[in-house]
Amino acid sequence: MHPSPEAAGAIYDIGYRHYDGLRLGRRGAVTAVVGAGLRAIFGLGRSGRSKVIPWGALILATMPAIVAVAIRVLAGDLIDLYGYDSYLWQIGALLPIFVAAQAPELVVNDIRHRVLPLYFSRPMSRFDYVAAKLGALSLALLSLTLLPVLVLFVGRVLAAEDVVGAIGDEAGALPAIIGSGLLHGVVLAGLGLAICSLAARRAYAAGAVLAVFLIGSVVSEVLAEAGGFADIAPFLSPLAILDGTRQWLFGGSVAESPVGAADVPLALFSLATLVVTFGSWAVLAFRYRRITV
Amino acid sequence: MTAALVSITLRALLNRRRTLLLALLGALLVLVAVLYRLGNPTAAESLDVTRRLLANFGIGVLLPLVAVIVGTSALGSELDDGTIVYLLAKPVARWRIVLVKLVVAWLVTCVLVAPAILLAGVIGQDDPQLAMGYAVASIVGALEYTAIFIALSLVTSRALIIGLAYVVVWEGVVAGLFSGTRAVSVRQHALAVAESFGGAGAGDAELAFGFAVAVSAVVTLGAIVLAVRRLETVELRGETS
Amino acid sequence: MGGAGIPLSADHRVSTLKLEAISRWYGNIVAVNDVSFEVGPGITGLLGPNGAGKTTLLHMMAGFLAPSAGAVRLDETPTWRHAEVYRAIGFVPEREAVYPFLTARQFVAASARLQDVDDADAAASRAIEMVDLGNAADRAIGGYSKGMRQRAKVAAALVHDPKVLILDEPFNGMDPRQRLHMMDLLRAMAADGRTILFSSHILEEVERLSDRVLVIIAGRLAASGDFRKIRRLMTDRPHRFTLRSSDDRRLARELLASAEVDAVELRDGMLTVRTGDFGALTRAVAPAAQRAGVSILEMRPADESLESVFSYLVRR
Repeated sequence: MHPSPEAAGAIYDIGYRHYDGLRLGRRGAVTAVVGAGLRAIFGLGRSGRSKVIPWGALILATMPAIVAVAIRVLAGDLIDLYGYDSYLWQIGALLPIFVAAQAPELVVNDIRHRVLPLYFSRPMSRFDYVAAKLGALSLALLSLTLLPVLVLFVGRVLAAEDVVGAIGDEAGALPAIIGSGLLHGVVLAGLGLAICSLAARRAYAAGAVLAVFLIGSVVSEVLAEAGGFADIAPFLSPLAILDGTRQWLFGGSVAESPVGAADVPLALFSLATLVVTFGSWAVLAFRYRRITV
Repeated sequence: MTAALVSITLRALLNRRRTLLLALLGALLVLVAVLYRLGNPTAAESLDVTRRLLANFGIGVLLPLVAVIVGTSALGSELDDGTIVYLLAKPVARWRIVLVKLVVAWLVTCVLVAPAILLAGVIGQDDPQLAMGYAVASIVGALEYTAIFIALSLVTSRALIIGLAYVVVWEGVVAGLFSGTRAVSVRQHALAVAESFGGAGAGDAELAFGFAVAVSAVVTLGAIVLAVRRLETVELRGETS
Repeated sequence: MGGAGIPLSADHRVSTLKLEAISRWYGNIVAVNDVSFEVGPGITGLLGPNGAGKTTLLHMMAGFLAPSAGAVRLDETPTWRHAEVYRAIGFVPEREAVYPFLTARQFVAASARLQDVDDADAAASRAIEMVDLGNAADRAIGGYSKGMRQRAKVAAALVHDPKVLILDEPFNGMDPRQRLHMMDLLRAMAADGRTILFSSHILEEVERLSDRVLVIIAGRLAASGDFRKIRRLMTDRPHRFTLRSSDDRRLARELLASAEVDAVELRDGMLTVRTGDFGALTRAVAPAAQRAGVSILEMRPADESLESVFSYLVRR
């Protein structure tokens, strides 16, 4: 009589399993790095202290827009606190602080703690890595350079009595709003990340970013009042260069910006922006190609 | 004994690439002054612009940046990597350690800042007293800054970031908005000294000279006392237990 | 290599490090729990698993950490907040960081100067010779291997001829030859009358080097003294002996008749005997062998190593 097959003993293999399923590949890796970067910048998944600066900056950047809208609602067209063109210049101080506080997180730790092999041994090239980090920081910066102005726009439209008509009136400004927001976000992200990638520690990176922006704006301010140098003054400050580019692309000048005092063709500012942008990308490429891990 | 302390501190502070970068900052100040003067401005305008350059770039950016980096690392770098144990395991009075570190950090800061300010001032315009005034102000300000940052490095491990925040946010923004806070701004103390020593051309100070010096002395001494007390009770845990 | 090279200075009073009911806690976590002992001349090993509190204890003894309760004294002077006590103490920390831009010679000489030693350079040279770092002494420490860095730290700690030497995991990163050299050095210094205390989680080092052992587990002092004597005190655990004889099986049968024997095991050509009463068994073996007509070739305790003591204490 044969014993039934179920009665025979068996030992089951419950050890290590090989994964045969779907692998997300390069796109998945890049998306993951961008997502992780955004979460690191805004302190999601971390203690409250790391949320203070990014969210504080976000709130401070959006507050004036909200206030302006509120005034519009209450007092109508009488007072116009902020224009779309001048808004980014007004909150200009927040941008370097945000970059100095959050950009080091993105790149310095990976270099300092020699974690880069973990990235590069995945289907992710060095270029992908840098692009992902840039993408994360740019997106984060958009929350400061684009979001508040959009809030202003939407607020103004909704506050008007004739909403549909208001949309028609204000819509002309939309390309300028989106364009200059993107411009500021991408260029400042590139500059900030390039500076940070050269530093050995997060604190030094923050200091270096602040130094670049501080010195630039201080010197450009001082020289703007000086006779012969009002033309060069704006080129020393990254924020002034961006303002000049914005003006060239979309028009609309800002009173306090040194761009106004300068008697140079605005196209030069766009050239300067291109130099800064490609220069910082070059620095990043050089830095990450040179790193031996 | 003191000489050995001085030697170690000096070598640690000067040994890095960052000292070079800080020196370049000073050179940048001089460069701006040179370029400006090449444009042949009028005497009156050059006085005004140079004064603003010395006040805003020299005292406002160069001095605090150098002071924060040198000051927080004079003791901070040893606290950070644990080599402070080699200083503490010696029968050296803690106040002596603090004072030596302070003097060395102060002198290094002065050397990186004062000559640049002096040079830029002399190049940018014609009144030597103006340049002297701001240079002296930078020396005084350097003492107060480094004392504060050395004490800060004994209080927190993130002294550099907090120091930078102080310089950028407090002295830059807050003191600009609320005039009451200017009394406790090191920058204002230095500017008051500059105005007093700088002769006719100087003058962006918001505080009276005597008042500024008094507050500055109190703050400096307070920082030193705080630093000594913290060093006496600093605890080293080691990495594992 | 020569002897210690630096005999103990004229002050021949021995130095005792006394710990009186020391505790240290961080909030709710107790790192060291009511530890009391005295460390005198000779070599004492502080043994414990990682995380047991060895470094915390050593740092409190060296005056770098304040006890939350109790006091540490070196001959009546508390070590905490009394910088002059460092004239008599040399400390070798576990952390690797040393000033990387100094050469070993400069580092040791600077230590000598900070210790107010006369003729610091000569003292530094002597200390460097003692740790056998002579040929690399003029290279920057930043380029040293881990073992060389350890030796530089030890040289800096003994350049001022301290009566007490405290070393935290001193053999970390040393190759066997360096370790033997360092052990010889420490033994020579102990023979001069110095008090030497070192910590380790490696049993062989402690077993080989120390006269006394302090076992610290989870912050408490689990045992202290000569580890063989500690073993004898562990009476709730049977002792094991191995015997080789002319006829193991007959001897085993005879021994099993005695009341002292708990179990016998015949394996690998040896006879292993387990007993609860160490002393009684040693007296019973010879008569048993005689009765069985067996001659004993070899008898040795099987579990009197520090390892068995340690694993017993850890599991307790």
